[in-house]
Formats: sequence, C-alpha cells, structure tokens
Amino acid sequence: MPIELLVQALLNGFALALVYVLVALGLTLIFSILGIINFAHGEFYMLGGYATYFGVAVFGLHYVPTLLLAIGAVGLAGVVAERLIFRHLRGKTLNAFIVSLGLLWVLQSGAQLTFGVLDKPVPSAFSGIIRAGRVIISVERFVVVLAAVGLIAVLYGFLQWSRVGRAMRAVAQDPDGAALQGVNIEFTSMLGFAVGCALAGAAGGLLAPVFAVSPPMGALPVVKAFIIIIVGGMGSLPGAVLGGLLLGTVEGIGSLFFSSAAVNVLGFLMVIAVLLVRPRGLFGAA
Amino acid sequence: MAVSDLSMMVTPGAIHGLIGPNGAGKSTVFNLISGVLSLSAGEIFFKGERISGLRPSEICRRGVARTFQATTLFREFTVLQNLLVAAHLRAADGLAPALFASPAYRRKEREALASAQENLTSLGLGGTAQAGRSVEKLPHRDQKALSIAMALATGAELVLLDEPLAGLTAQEREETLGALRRLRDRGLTILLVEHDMKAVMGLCDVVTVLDHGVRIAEGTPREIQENPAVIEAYLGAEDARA
Amino acid sequence: MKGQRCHGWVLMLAAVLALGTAAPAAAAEKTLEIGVLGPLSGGAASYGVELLRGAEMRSDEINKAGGLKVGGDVYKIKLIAYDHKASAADAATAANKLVFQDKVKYIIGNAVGATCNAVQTVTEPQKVMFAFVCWGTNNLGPDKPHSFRSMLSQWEAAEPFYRWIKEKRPTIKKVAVISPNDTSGLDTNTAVVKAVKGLALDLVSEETYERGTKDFYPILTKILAKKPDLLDVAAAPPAEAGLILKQAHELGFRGAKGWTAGVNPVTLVGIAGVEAAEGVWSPVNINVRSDFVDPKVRKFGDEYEKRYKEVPGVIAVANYGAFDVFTKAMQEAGSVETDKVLAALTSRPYDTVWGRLVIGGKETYRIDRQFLYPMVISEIRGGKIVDIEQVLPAALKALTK
Repeated sequence: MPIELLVQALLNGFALALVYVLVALGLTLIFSILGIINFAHGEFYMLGGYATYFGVAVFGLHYVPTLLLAIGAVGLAGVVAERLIFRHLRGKTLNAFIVSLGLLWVLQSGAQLTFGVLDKPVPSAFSGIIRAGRVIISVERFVVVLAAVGLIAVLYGFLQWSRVGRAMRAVAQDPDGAALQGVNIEFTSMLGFAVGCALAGAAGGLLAPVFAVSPPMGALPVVKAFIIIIVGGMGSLPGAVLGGLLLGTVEGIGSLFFSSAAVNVLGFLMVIAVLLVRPRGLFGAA
Repeated sequence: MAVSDLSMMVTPGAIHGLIGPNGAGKSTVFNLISGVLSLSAGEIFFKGERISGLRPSEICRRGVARTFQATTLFREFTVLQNLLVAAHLRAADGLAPALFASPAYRRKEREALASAQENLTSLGLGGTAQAGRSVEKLPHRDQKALSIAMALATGAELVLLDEPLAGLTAQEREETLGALRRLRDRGLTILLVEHDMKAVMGLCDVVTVLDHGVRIAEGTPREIQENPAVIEAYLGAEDARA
Repeated sequence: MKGQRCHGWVLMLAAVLALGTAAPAAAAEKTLEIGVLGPLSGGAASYGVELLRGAEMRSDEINKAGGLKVGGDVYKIKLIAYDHKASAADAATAANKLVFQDKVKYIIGNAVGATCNAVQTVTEPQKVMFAFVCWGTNNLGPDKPHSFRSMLSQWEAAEPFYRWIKEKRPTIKKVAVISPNDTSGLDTNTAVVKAVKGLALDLVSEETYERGTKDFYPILTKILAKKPDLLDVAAAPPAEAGLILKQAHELGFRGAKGWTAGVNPVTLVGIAGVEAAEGVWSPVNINVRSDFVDPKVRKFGDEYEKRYKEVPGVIAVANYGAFDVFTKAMQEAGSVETDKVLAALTSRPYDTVWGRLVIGGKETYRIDRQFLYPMVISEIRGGKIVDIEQVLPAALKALTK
C-alpha cells in the first residue's frame, strides 16, 4: 500500500475527529458539572448548523462573523435550556436521560417543521485544495481543523486560567465544597451548560459548509462524541482529545480495509476494547 | 442527627468551642450555619442579618466559611488553584471584568492571593515554592492547613473549623493552636468542633456543650470542666461505649 | 363552579367532534381514499416530498374537475400520507395503518427499496394495489401481481446509458460505481456492473456506503486510487450524490461523472456546487423544461413550479403519471374494485404525462408490471440541466416496434 494513501486516510480521519472532539468536550463538560448526560446535545450541533445557514445563505453575511454569531446564539439556547429544564435535573441521571431524549425529538421535529426536511447547502467561504505530493486536503477542511484546534486551546485556557473556568472545574470536582467556598453553583452550572452547547454549535457551524445542514444532522456527531468520551473517560478533557485522535486513527486507517458500514462498527469495537481493559476510560476518574 | 431548641451566640473576635460526645449534633450545627442543611424552625443571624435560608455560596459571600472534617480540597487542582477558587469571592466584580482580566480584577486577585499565601505561611504550610504542587500529594497536615487557608481566603470573618487537630502529631497540634491564636488576635472569629479536650480547654474563650442535640452547658473552659452535667454526659457516653 | 365549567368544555368538544364527523356524511359524492408512503424526513426526504406533491397535483386536478367518474359514481379523491423515514420497520407500520385502519385499496407512491419489500408483505396478501418508484429487482415478480413500478429502474436505464457512453465518449474505459448499501443501492450497482461488463468496459471499483453518511473522503480515497475515467454515483439520493461529487472534486477528481439512477439534479447542484457538479450525465432524470420531453411534462412542470416554487424531479412526474394511469384504469374498468382495475391495467398503451407509456418488463421480471417510457440523457452544464439525447429502454424499443 502506498504511503500517500495511508497519510491521506489518517488526514481524513483526523480532520473530522477534531470537530467531533468539540462536540465531545461540550458533552463531557456538561456531564462533569451537572452530572447528567444530555442526549439532545447533537441538536445544539444542528442549531449551530442552521444558524450558520441562515447567516450565510439567507442573510448573505460573511462566514467568519456568522460562525461567531452562531456560537453565541447556540450558547444562549443552552442558557434557556438550562434555566427551563436541566437546572432541575442536576444529578438525576435517569430523569435527565428521559427529558433530554424528549428535547431531542422536540428540537429535531421543530427543525423539520420550521426549516423543512431537505438538506440545505451552505456556501463555503474557502475554496481550493492544498496538495503535498499525492496527499490532498481542501482549504475548507484545513480551516475547519485550524478552527477546531483553536477552540480546543481557547477552552483549555478558559478552564485553566479564568476565574469562571476554575469555578466550573471546582463544581465538577465537588459541588458542595465549591458552594462552601462561595462559588455560585447555579450561575456556574448555567454558564457551563451554555459553554458546552456553544461548543456543539461551533462544531455544527464549522461543518455546515462541508456537509450541508438538515434536521437529523446531529445524530452522527453525537454518536462519535459518545465514543470519544467513553474511550477518553467521562469528564476528562485531555481524555476527550486523546479519544478523538484515537477514533480518527482507527476510522481513517480502517476505511482503507473495510466497507463504510464496517468502519462505523470499528468505533464501537474500540469502546468495547477500552472498557474491557480500563472500565473508566483512558483518563476517567475512578 | 437532629438538633433542637439550640440557642447560642458567638462573640466576635473569640474562639468558641463546640463539644459533645459522638452523635451530639455538632456537625449538624455546622451544616445548619453554613446552609448545607436547612432549618425546620428557628433563625440564624450573622452581623445582625438573617443568613438562615440562604444558599451556601451566599452565606459564604456574607463572611461565613467552613472547613470539613474530611478535608475538601479540589483534588485535581494545585495548591494555588485551590486558593484561587476560594479567593475568587474577594476578587469578584462580575463576569465581564474577570473574562477580560481588567487591571482592577487582576490587582484584587493578586491581593487576595498574597494574603492567602501569608496565611498559609503562618499556618505552617510553605511559601510560593509549593503553590504549583498538586494537593493530592500534600502531607495530611498541609492539607488541613490549606483547607483553613482556603476558608480564610474567602474573606470570611467567621470561620467554622471541623476538627482542625484530628490526625496531627503533638508538635503539629501545638503549631496549629499557635496559628489559630494569632488569627484570633487579628480579629478573626472562630467556631470549632474538636475532640481533643485538652486543646479545646486551652484554646477556647467560650465552650458550648451539646448532647443528643440539646445544649447542656455553656461557659468558660473552667466553668465547663466543673459542670456536673457535662461530666455526666461524657461519663455516660464512656459507659455506653464500654 | 369548577364542575360546570368542565361540562362546558366537554360539550364544546363534543360539538366540534360532531361537526367534524357530520361533514363528510353531508356530502353526496363518494370518497376514494388513496395512500401515499415515502420518506418525508431524513436524507431521502426529497423523494417522499416529490411523491406526495405528484399525487397532490393529479388528485387536485381530478377533484377540481368535479371528481373521478367511474361507472355511475363520482369519487372525490382523498390522500392519506405517512412518513416512513426510509426505514423498513416504519414502512411496515405505515402500510398496516393504511390497509387495516384507513382501509385503503390503493397505495400510489413509495420510494427506497427496502421499504417497498416491507410494504408488499402487507399489500400483496390483502390484494392492495401498490405503485412505487423503488429500484429493488425483486419488488416486481409473478408472486407480486398487485405491484407496479411507475418509473424506469436501473434495469431499464443502465444498459442504454452505458451503451450511449461507450458510443459517444469512447475515451472512457475505467468505471467506478458507488451506491447506498441497501436494496435499491445494491441492485443499482448490480445493474451498472452488468451493463459495464456487458459492454466490455473496465469496472475498477464498486463501493457502497451507509445511508446518512456525510464524509465520503475515506471511500473516495480508495476509489480515486484506482484512477477511474468515470465516477457513477449510481443510486445515491441527490443530497448524498452532491456531497460525494463535492468531496471527489476536493480530492482532485476531474474525470467524467454519471448518475445512473439520478433524480433531482437541482438539489445535487445546490449541495455539490456548480464546479463539482459540472458534466454529470443522468439517464432517468427528467428536465421538465426540455425540448426533448412531451409538452404535457412541460405543462406539469410549469404548474408544479407555480405551486411549490421548486422544479419537479422525475419522481414527482412518475407519481403524477402513476395516479393518472391508475385512475384511467379505474374508469376503463368502470369500478374501483382492485380485481377489475388490475385486469384493465394490461399492457395496452396509455397516453399520459410521459407521452406514450406501456406497462411491460416481462423479460426482466417475468411479469408485465414496469412502466416503460422514453428516457432522456441529460448533462449538468454551469449548474443548469441540459438534455442531450433521447434513448429508448430496450424493452420499449422491442414493444413499440
């Protein structure tokens, strides 16, 4: 097998996996702060996609400001969802499971009714390809990769060095302890939920020009995100990044040898393998 | 453990001990004051304002902080990050200044940190050299010191200490007692639960004794030591344990 | 007080219900209920939407003209449509609802192969007439006498399409084909492979993908490594075909492009972009504005565009035609009873939206249940659909000789 093909396959896998890492980071952030799994997380990805579609294709704005607006808009949607629904479900895993499934259907059906069922193309702001020998990546995907890496870095900095980011991590480690140190749990949770949703929205906005938007578009990335965080360890940010890179490698290389249906199974096989060896994931807390 | 009909007053600038046999309700009193548990009847005032019914974070904001028997530190954080979480109240000006790191915010945060460092040093935990250490790797005594320093870093005027001496060696106890006295001399008010009777009697200005959720005595250490009801409660408890 | 108010609501509700049920009874004419199935959501939603609109167009025309006169009766046509999301399980549920709950005797409209098989497990035993645009080979057969395909399938289209390619574009030797990995897709690949090999062209890659796939880089990396002259996105629905071509273009593919079972190239261009969609040939699609098509198709296209603000694809025309043929057969039979209508639907020619249409296909399916009509090979140029040439399916050629 020529080496270029192998490099191309790895590049294919990584480019998308990095975007799915954004979705996974949002999911795991919300899980660690509120102790719940938001199954409607993919729908915030979808909202980010549609916000981008409206900005670029309908209102004719430039892609970059649109993307920033879309991230903000989805963050606000997250604030609303947290205030109305998830605030009351802190730590109630089963209730949150049922309610978030309900929210998934509401948002998806709502999108179908409002936006229509057909795929909507989003014009790309970047054209052309970058070629290194026989290895090719489109400028569009290259920008997506850069943006995803940038956002991951910004999130890391935010959690590491900002006051609010530290408060989020404190709440994630010990909500009662954090409250006794004067951390406002309600506000911190709301902000954490919003940041988590905004990350999904950013991923949706980044991939909107690459894949077009449609109401069920959130299903695939959220499945990938689950694979990533189970492999990387629930609640762990470095774990999510590592999980994403592993998934990209496995799917990229796997696609050279297996059919696309089989490649989708590879991710789940990876989950099973990791869980057998390390039930809490690679970076999960005990 | 239920507490009923408890009335007590903590004098500003004093070290107030709360003692009693196991299960007397001391931890419950701490939980009620700090807002972790809510009162079914009655009220709690701090500096003339009602704090019962407020959320724990709000009570902390008003100036009441506590430590735990089992030290609650944010285990994934370094010493510095732990202090920053606690210190963020004093630097709090709202979200925007913090996000954009305004000079005023930075300055306040630096001040809060500096005083936290000072407290750490006076409590016997090293200086800046240890700021970057992971708290998981700290020895027990330093973890206890850090949890007290965190309570102070919130800017609290009243600090509730849950067994600050438990698990310490004799020499470490002496150092901690010295540090607590110095804090009192600087105007801090301390309410503490402690099993080491000798230390309590030597340290406290006032002692309240609980048994089965009811206050059975209050007074200076000398008065308490001579109170027959207290002796009865402790001896009874000893008997029961035997 | 509370109790009384409650009664008030119940009474009002009862009144509304009574009005609702009384209304149809007051009308004098009879109602003929006809089912429509299809994916109305998900990646193949454009198929379902077109099926439903084609059905609406014809049934509204009939109703506006005073209803369908069959024997001595006049019927108003009422459509009952269900979404099966391209899932076989949902399709079976929807078919059960239509047949046993709504008691329809005709289901005109369905797409996506696997769902047709599921629907047929209900319609055939119940002798319900079923017309569809699914491309599964086994959707037609002597064991399924009540089933009709209202649109040319890959079996009719692939051979004449590739014969045309071989004759008119002789530089094309190496062919790669990609389809979804379900019944329609696999059958389309099989038909293309058969045509390609039959014509002594070189098949270099045959790939399938999961419906709903968005990222085709991995598959395309494999395909393009084989350096095909022609990439056939055979049975891919418009949105997915658009993504495949867009990504193939990004990966540097500049060869010829085919879409054997292609429908609705407008959607494809929207997703792929003008550049990546340039030059796509498609044999089964119909360009309603073309000079090659029957004037009736052009008229249908104008009215459809006026009503839905979109240009119809071939599926809308096919289902409109199916409604036309079935209702004409009812009038011919003088009855809406399925036995009599089935007998009337023989291989006699119909004059319909396609122009001259015959029901044939015996040599492929061992029973005449396939609608046959002239097809036009089109090419996408600068984002527009341009017709190049009209060709006849082999079977139609034979029948009309």
